[in-house]
Amino acid sequence: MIQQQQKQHQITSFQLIFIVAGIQIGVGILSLYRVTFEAGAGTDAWMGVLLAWFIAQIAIFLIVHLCSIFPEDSLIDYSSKILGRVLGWLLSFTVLGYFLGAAAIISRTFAEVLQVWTLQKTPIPVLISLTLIPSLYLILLGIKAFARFAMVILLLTWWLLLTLVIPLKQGDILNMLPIGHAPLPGIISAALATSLAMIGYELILLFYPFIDRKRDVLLSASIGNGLTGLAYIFNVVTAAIFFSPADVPNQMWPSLQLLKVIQFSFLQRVESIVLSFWLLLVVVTVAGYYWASAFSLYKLINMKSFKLSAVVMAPIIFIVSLLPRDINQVTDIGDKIGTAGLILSFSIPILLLTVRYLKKWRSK
Amino acid sequence: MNPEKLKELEAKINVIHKDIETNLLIVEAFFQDSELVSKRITNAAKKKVLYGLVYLDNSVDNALINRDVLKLIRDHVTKNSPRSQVIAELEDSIANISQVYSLDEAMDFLVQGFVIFFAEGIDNAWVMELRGFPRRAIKEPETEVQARGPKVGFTEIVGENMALLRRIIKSSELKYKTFIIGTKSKTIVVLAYVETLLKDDVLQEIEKRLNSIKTDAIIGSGQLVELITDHPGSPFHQILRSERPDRIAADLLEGKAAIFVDGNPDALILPATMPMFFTTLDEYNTTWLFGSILRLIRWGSFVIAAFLPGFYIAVVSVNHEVLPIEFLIIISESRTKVPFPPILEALLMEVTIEILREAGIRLPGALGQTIGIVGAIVIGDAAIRAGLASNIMVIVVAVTTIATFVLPVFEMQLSLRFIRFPLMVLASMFGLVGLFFGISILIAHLSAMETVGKPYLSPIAPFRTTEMQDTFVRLPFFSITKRPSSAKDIKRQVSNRRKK
Amino acid sequence: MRTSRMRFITLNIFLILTALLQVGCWDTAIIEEKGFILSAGIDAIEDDPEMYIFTMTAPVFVELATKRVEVLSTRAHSPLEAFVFFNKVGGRLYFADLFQVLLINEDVAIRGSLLTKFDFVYRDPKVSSLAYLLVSQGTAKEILDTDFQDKNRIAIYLTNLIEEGAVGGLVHPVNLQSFRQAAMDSVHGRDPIVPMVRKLENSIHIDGAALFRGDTMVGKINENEYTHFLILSGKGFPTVFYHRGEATYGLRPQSIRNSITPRIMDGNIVFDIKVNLAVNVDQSFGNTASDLSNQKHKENLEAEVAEFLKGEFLKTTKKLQEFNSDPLGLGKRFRAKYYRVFSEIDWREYYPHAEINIDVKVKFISHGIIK
Repeated sequence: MIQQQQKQHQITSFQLIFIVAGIQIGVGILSLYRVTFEAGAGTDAWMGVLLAWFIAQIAIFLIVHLCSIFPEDSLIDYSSKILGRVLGWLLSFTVLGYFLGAAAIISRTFAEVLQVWTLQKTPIPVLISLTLIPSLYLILLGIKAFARFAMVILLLTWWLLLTLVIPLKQGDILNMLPIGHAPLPGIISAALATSLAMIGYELILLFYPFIDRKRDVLLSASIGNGLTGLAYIFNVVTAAIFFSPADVPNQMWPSLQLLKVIQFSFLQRVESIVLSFWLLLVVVTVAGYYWASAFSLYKLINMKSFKLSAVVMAPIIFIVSLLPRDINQVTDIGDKIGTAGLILSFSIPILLLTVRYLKKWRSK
Repeated sequence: MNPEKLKELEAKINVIHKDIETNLLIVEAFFQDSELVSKRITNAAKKKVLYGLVYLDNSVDNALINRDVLKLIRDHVTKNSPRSQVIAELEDSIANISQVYSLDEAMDFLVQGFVIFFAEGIDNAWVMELRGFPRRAIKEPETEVQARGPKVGFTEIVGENMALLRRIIKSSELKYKTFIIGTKSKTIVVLAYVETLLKDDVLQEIEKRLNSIKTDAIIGSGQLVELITDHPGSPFHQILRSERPDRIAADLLEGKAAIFVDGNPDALILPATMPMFFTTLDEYNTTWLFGSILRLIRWGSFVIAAFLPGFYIAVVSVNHEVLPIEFLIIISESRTKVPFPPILEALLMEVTIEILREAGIRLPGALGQTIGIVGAIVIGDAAIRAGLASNIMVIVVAVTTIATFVLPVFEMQLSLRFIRFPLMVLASMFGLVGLFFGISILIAHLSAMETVGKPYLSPIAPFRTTEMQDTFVRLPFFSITKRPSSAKDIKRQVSNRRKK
Repeated sequence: MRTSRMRFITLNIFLILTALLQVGCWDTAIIEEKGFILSAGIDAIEDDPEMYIFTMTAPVFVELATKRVEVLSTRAHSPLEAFVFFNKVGGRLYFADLFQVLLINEDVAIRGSLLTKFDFVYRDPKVSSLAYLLVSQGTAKEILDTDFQDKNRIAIYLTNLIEEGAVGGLVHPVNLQSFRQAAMDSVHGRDPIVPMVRKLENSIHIDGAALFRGDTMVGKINENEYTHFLILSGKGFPTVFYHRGEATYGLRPQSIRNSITPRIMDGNIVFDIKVNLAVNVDQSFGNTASDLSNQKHKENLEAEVAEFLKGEFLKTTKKLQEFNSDPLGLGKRFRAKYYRVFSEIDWREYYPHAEINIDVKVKFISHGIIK
């Protein structure tokens, strides 16, 4: 019995910090400043990010509250308990599709970035498999390995933020001034536009039963989300100081363009190196969504083993990621996936909690 | 021996017969055509066999048998003393003597080098330890040289090793458990641990694994490693081998277990974590500041040895843009004559180095060193002159190889040699991205591994703040107040230096 | 048993996937077989406003080659067109990964809209953004084509010239990235200023700077004015010379603290520029040179120098206003403070008439080891 419980509780709540942050930080940050800028926040993009962080925090609160009602079950288990079989199945299926799409679109986006920035001639399918193969390997090794992996990667990559200091020094604070001239609707729409960069916390819906100390989950997830928020705000502020506001809409990936000016006596063009390091972070993100989709499939149709469902999922994700025609479509779908994530992470807890309380109230 | 006879004899070996002759005949039948010596001691009239001695020639110390056993019995036989007196005196004069109640058991002792003693009319026998194996002197192990510290290494005899360990941990808490493994070799395997520190479930798991081994023979301890390790397919070793008693003692006191295999001058430590492969006692034998520097040098060398060739190849064949212009000119100029792509050039040099290294090990002492130096200098220089390799590549390969040797544990050096090559190939195809693709798989692999329930990457992942004090650096002893979390008793006795 | 079979299957899948990955080395290109464009130059052709002469240099690594640098030149409409041509004649593929210097002839800069012309340079992420931008008096081709025997390869010579100049505070380097930011900022009230170079007998001389409005060159300032601009903007600390009677003083700023404050007074835009200079006196000679250890003399001299510099600064800013080029970023500061006003007016109409007050304070902090 004890052993069984130990087997179940494979993630420590401390590791959850890194899981949440690792899954959140993916490809979204690469275009974060342009996206928020264009959405209407202008040079006040950091306010939009701050708001987005706050929205994510509310979503985390709702999700953890929902999960704490069924501490040993995942979303797929209790959605049918609350909503009934058909509706629950439908919801689980939607969630599965969302996870699948997120995994596919993130690895595809990163493949496009890689192709543009360093590996021009390498075909897209190969670049996609550069992130999918480690993810597959990782989730076959189990969720424990995933948790540790996320942590090691975050420890290995946090210093990348320090490279931003150089563009920060080269930039001109005047670019960011005046502060606060963006209209409120612009900031709100900027916050919503960051959704692709912010999503990742909704995976707690599935991770929850595996975490050992449930009472720390909210704190850990919030710290993880906070780290992400800080990294994003730092990035956006640096970009706002570095780029002339007139140039921002032209930059596809401002966060990488920033790094092109870094030069040391022994190394230059740090963006190539950062992009390679970024592969590690994207692997965490893709592996997270990949795990979620494989886990949902495994629970949804009662597969014999999780590994089988992971292996089955691999070609599906691979093919789905190849579906978008070109980079514009990829960006489009990416934004839609982000929005879907935002909607799901609010609607699922609200829907399930409401139905549950209604049922309780009626049975009284 | 034909099968029928074997069957017939096997039916008789679960007891000891009162009749000496029967016993001796059965044993002789089993050990037909071997170095068995069976001695029958008869009374003065030379009519009746009174006592019997059976042992394996050269496995026992003849002088001891002559002095302590044969002379004593002979005297009593001459004096016609009663049997009970002989046995009582024998039991008193031999240190390690015990009774056995079946021939089967007796023969198990026999093969370990014990002497069996039979007495007429008594249905049990005695086994005496009068072993006299050929042995060598205790020397400092050549593969694990340390700047300071005891110059003592294990020998091939397990008993001596146990004694060496006991000299360091003089406590009744140090326990030894003996296992006999191998249906043919009957190798003695001893599990050593400190009772109050090793966790019970770890102990049980190790015992279970040792008991479940079914094999003909254990010759080397490396064989045992493969039989009890969790991930035999991994390029990383999860069980540490050491020839130094002080190192083993230090690890036992951290809550690990050690396994001795008779006939091998080393012990296996488990559960081993990755940071343990970067540790020697040198860091503890100096002040913490220098100890920390030593540690950092080792981790740095690991990174260099694993990733430098891959990084160089990535930069030279794909990601040229990261090189400042001065470097570009140096590298390009040195490569103008080289007809190979960088990956081929690197593989050529690396393989040459590996061959030299292998050759150096096989050749006797001084000659091996000569081959190493001559090979490295002559081949390296000639390759550059001939235009088969560039200067920079030779430097990269040389630095990599030297960095490999910094790691104190031979097994980790082997792992490094293995992981370097795939990374080089990936780097030549995808540049830095390919290198990090390889690294992500490597980290995934490392973070998944566990040895007897202890994560391999501990204390890095899962993160343990208290253990980090003794991982990449070594903080002063008085600040390390905790043992690794895998120990049963985590609290460590520390000096009260700070409170003064 | 089942788990081991599972493991076997997954292992095989990995092997197959890895084998698939191994099929190609798409982006592998061996370093010494590539041609690295280190510097490029653009010259105008007088009779055709759409045509330019492009020149590029790449280091040569071939053994027994007598020249260190390969120089190719062609007429083309755009950089990419020239680039394609170079690939056809060079015998190796050229890359701009390590692009160091871009030289633009004055006439090209005056023709303008450089950003659109350099579209290729900014669009391709492989092209280094670190390349320095220089405006050349005289053709760029002439500079690039010369082998300065006692200097490094031309591109590296130019790079070092700018970088070391920046260390000495003599020049403010402009690279492709910062030029783009400044040129884009034109609508927000900031313009690029690019150092100019001129070929001498056996060297290259940094001689003044080109003023831009947006990405079009509108005028130039001489060496002296560039010096004053550098101090005024705090981007450099070049030595200024002050003559008084027969005495000549060489003054090197040690630290510069500037503040530019915009304000609106009676519907006029006013900028108050305060310059606080702490200078070293590196040279002081002549019959009437003051005794600098005398506090009174020193203070007098400080006030005189401040007054002199104020006049020079005003002349410089006047010139900038005349060209309607705003390298000091005055407009940007105004925009930061009066955002609403700025977005309602056409800054370019107001800038030449803006009132600029300059207040200079000079302090001598050291005069060496001679009184």
